[in-house]
Amino acid sequence: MIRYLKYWLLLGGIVLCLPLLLNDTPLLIIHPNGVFFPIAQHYTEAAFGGESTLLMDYSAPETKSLFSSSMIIKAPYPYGLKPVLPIHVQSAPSRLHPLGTNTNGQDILALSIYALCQNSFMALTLTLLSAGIGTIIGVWSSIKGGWVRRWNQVLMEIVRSMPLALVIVISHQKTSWFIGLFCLTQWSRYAQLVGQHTTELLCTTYVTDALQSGQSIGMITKIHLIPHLLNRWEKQLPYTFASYLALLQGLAYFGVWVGDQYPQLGMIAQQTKQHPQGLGILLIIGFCFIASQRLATYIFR
Amino acid sequence: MEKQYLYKRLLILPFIWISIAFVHALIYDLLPGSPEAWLIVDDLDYAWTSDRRYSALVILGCVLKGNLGNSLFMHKPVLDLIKAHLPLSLQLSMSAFGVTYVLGMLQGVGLYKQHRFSQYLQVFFSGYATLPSFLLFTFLFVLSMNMGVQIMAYRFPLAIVFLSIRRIAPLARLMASCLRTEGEKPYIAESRHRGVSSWRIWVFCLLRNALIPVWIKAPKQFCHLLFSACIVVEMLFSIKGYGWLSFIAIKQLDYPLILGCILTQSIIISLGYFLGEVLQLWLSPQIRRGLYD
Repeated sequence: MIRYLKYWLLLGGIVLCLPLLLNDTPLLIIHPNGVFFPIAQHYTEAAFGGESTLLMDYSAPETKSLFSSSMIIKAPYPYGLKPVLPIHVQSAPSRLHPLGTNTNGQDILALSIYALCQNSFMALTLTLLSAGIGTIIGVWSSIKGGWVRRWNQVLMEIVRSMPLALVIVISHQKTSWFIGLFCLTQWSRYAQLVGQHTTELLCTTYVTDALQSGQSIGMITKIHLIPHLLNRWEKQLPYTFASYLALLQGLAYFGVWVGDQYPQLGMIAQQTKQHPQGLGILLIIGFCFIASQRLATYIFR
Repeated sequence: MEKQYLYKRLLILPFIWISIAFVHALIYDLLPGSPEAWLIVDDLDYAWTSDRRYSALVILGCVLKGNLGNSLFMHKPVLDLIKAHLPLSLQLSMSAFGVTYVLGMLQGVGLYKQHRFSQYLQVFFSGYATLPSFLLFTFLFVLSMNMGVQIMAYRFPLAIVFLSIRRIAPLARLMASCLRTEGEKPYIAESRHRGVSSWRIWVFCLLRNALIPVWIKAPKQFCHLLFSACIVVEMLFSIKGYGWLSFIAIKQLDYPLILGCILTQSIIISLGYFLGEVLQLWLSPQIRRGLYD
């Protein structure tokens, strides 16, 4: 579990650091007027000695004279999620934009990297949360048995009836609501899987011997059940991750997505229908999907 | 003993359906929206002018009487809409199901016999299954636009291909694994040793026993095909079936239609799972023996 947490934190760290790597806004400006951090704060032109009190546009050619005696540290890749100039809408791959730009004028390479990292992080979070909740419920209902198990089965049927698209619509695209509702509705897959295996394990000779020798159910769960369950659990996790990622992106393709500010691979795929270099972009998105599945197989090996 | 288990299972189903209807009616009751547009009840005023917490019960009462109301956006009875759109989805799913099982079983036999062609095909099917349908469809769409071909003219056959190909690889793997397990059993070697002909061993021993897990999964696979897979494929190919209807209902927050679609889905899936259990008890002698023991 610590291993999964480690990878979850690592992927979360990468997502948080993406604006430092892919951004059209400078990271740090050492100006005669002071030290500025445009990535963290909005500044007006007046702060850099300009006349206007409007927000600073760092990419505009008219404002370059304000930074003639300044040191600017930019992100390694100079494009982020903001649209570039209108003349660059739906442009072909070039030296400036390796994968071209979309209908909104956004750089596709930056969009794809943001979408890959953020969507993978979301899918990993949902996988771990729903698998964890399902495992706890599955093990508990199998150990208790009787009416607990029967009610768990009824609850699973009710929960399984909730379509994911409805969960996204109900959560009104708020990420926290969506994660909560998603975990409430998707735990049943692991509860059923883990419940079946726990029942098989409870019938094995070493577990029955441990029960007869007076060991507590907590110790038996920790020593005998969890190591065996983890083995089978880990085999299922990459498929769950891949299916959640594909499901979320499929819904994004049809205009149902979570979090307005996050780019989605499904949306990028939808935009390529009108793009002159659509085939190439689709190959890159396909590569992103395969890369995320390889990542999941590596994490859950 | 097995009949007792099946009766218990059958008796609990209506309770599950009523619970699903109540939970969803409660959710729609709590969701923001205009109650005046909720046309499900004749006594609409009672439902919405009385204490709000009773309206979910009123909706449930109407659902139990078979009154699912009218769709808010299509202005037609929900039951009529479901009856009009479900046959097309059934047709699509059954065609895809047939293709999947025929090709999957043939592929499984090929994998068991370790044919090189089957192994290459398995790599292709597995690779195909890793990529999402919407991506493959968009790729095909853009490619056909560049070549000047209208793929939407062949939407139904293409939808069947999309639905069936991604399910062939796991079915073939299951089939090959079952054949391998069955083939290693002593009675097969004994039969060969006694000179039983190869085709008799295949038909009466190997296939008959190895296909049991495959047939047990069939109702669940069909339900999954009808309700999960069909939604995506129908939206991609603009086939106005049940999946298209339910997705449009969710997007528009057409509450009566969503409730109707979810109830239909729950009833058919529960019956499908129940049929799977009946098949399991009927086909698997080990489970029957275990129950009697």
